[in-house]
Amino acid sequence: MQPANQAQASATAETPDAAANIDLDNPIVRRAVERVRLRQEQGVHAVHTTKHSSHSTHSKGSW
Amino acid sequence: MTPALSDRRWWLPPDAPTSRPPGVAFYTFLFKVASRCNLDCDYCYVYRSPDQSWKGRPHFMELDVARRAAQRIADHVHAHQIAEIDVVFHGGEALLAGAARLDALASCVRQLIPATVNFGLQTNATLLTEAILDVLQKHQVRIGVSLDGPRSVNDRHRLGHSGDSSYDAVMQGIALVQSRPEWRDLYGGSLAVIDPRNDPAELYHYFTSIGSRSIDLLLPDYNHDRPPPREYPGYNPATAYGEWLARFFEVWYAAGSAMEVKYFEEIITLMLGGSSGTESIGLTPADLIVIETDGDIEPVDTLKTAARRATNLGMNVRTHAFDDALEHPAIVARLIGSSALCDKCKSCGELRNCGGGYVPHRFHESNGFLNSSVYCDDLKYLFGVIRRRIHGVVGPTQQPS
Repeated sequence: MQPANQAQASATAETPDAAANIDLDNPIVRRAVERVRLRQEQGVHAVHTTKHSSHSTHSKGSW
Repeated sequence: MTPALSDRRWWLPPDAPTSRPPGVAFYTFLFKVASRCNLDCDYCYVYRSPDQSWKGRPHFMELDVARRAAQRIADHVHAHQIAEIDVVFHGGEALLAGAARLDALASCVRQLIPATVNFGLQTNATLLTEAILDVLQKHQVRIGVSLDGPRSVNDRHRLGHSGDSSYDAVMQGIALVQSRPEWRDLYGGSLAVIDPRNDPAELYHYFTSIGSRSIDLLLPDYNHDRPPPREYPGYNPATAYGEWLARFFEVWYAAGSAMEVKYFEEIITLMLGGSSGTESIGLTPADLIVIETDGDIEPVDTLKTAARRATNLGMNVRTHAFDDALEHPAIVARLIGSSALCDKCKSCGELRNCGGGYVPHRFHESNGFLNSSVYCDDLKYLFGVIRRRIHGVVGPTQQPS
């Protein structure tokens, strides 16, 4: 695994929505839960994610 | 007044850090392999923007420029101990570069950079050929296709230089990509710009029907100096874009769709406590950089929509290292999260999910980028709808307060 980008943005000081009572029956939400887990596991602190992500980092991209 | 990109007051509040945080680096490198396009889309952020620097650029990135860029990237990955990066071929229309040039550029990058390189390419697909697809397959270049929707939708904005429809040529390109399994695997997804005159449900079903594995929905690149049109039948003008996105979201979410919609997926990920995987939403540091056909280094190309020379860092791969760019206020501003935002954004309850929205949409001539997004109310509306759904609230969505 590549070293995580160590940028410690002030984002970490913000509080995410409560994770309780989320709609895990919906596969879209389950995908997001998995994405959160994967990015935390990879230590990703920047928009670049590895080939494990299907999302392009640039706004004008869908590769 | 013309904004001075080097003036930190355009980018950073007085109390913001003056330098980059430790440990940051670039991981995504956008190569502008062609500076011209065979289409003339009326919303284009390159050709229809205040910045017209494309007129003075070489039409194509020559191999010596790519080689110098790759050497600079090699230095960067060595200095920052990076094992894996993304290199993206972009335009203009990237396929104007042709099969031989794309092959040479990709081979050069692969040869000179001592890291795993994942290639991507954004195209309008009209120039796809078997020869080009063989090259893209050889280098495992993932393909994104710009397409707004079915013919009637696409032809609103995405026309040729003679005003002719691009739709048939795009669909021929997509059909070619999907004609062989090894090429089909390269097709990442579609990219569509929002126009509230289009039916969101129709668009959702269209993109699933053409086999797009993912799409992204783009807010048009307007800002506070050039605000977006907002008068559309059936929509509240104050939140027309948010409502349109919410209607698309509702259809997509109710279907539990396997087709990923990047913008929504990333917002949900943020709401569940994750980081963002795209520069367009959230506070996550944006670690991407652009290399123009002449080797100029730019923070992000979409800033061209703000003002003339708004992407000009005064740096080139021939004379500057990527670490030099990391010190520029325009780059620092995208690496320090909420510290770079205006007071209104800092005190907003959606700060973590929104991050001020996309940078070019914050621009105002009077104070640069220290504003909330011109789509601020739209984003709040959308966040409200998404939040209710992912927490299992059923029934009609409500207008957020």
